[in-house]
Amino acid sequence: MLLQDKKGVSIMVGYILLIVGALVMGGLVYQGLKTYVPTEIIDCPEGVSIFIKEKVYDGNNLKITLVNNGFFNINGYFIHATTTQEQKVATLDLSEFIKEGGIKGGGFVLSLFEPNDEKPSNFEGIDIEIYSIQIIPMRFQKEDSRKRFVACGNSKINEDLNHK
Amino acid sequence: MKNSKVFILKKTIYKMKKGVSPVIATVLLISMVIVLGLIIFLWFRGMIVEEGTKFGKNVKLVCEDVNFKASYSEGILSIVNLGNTPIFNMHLRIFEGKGYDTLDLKEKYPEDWEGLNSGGTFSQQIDGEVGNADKLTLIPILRAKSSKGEIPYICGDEYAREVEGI
Repeated sequence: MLLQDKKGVSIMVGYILLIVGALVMGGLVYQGLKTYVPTEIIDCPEGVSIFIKEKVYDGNNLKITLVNNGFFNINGYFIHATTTQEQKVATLDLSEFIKEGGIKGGGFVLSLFEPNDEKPSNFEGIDIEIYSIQIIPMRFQKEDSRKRFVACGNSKINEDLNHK
Repeated sequence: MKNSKVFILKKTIYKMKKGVSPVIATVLLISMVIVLGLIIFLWFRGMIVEEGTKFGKNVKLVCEDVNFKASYSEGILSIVNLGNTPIFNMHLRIFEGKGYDTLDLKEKYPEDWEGLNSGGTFSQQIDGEVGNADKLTLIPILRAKSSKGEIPYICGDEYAREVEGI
């Protein structure tokens, strides 16, 4: 009698339940694992390059001429200096002292350099003796349809200053 | 006579239709499985520490993108962030002999440490803490988004960088 009883979940409802269950579980697993998928890191292209053509430091003022010898635009740079001869990593922010050749940003200098551009910059009133400077170029790049500020750490340059 | 009584009894049992219907049984079964599944899920979730995400990625993967340089000279620790991942905090490990001490830079120097954004720098006199250390390493700590809000995430030892100059 029981074997002949046909009441219960119909085949169609069974299939729907099965598919809905599979979709829900798939969605949950996807949500959990999607953050583990490596995405492209925000970085500058390899062709970004800058060099210091001229430098003059008189103990109080610094004048540098920067040249963009890379293939891409540079929108500015971080400039730091060492305050002792032994210091290997420059930490003194010189962007505070910019007078000409750029606009002071929040810890960086804003100045557009197109490829092959050459621009002088003057930093005046540096009240601490500095020994070398480190420049990290920065760019504004489009990432996910919005412009992002990107530091080009791999294109950084160091330059010793000759004291006069 | 006895046989016919047994036959009638069996027939009555087979004919008895009272009990849980197959639909209710199925509904009960499915609800019990869902409830049990939820209990197990919540139990395991409480045991697993949530790592959080940064830039839409698991923060563990973002640790690989951290790029910084550090040096120590004349008692001053200098750090520069060369990458594009903001560093929320750092642990300085001071190795001396067989063991090491850990110094939380944000906790130790709350007024000087402001975090390291792209191109950001930090320098601090730390000779009093370092003493006669054999080696110094820095471990980055990132800020990750989680269901509990923003949480600090300490990158693994494999992302520690040695401080130059010691």
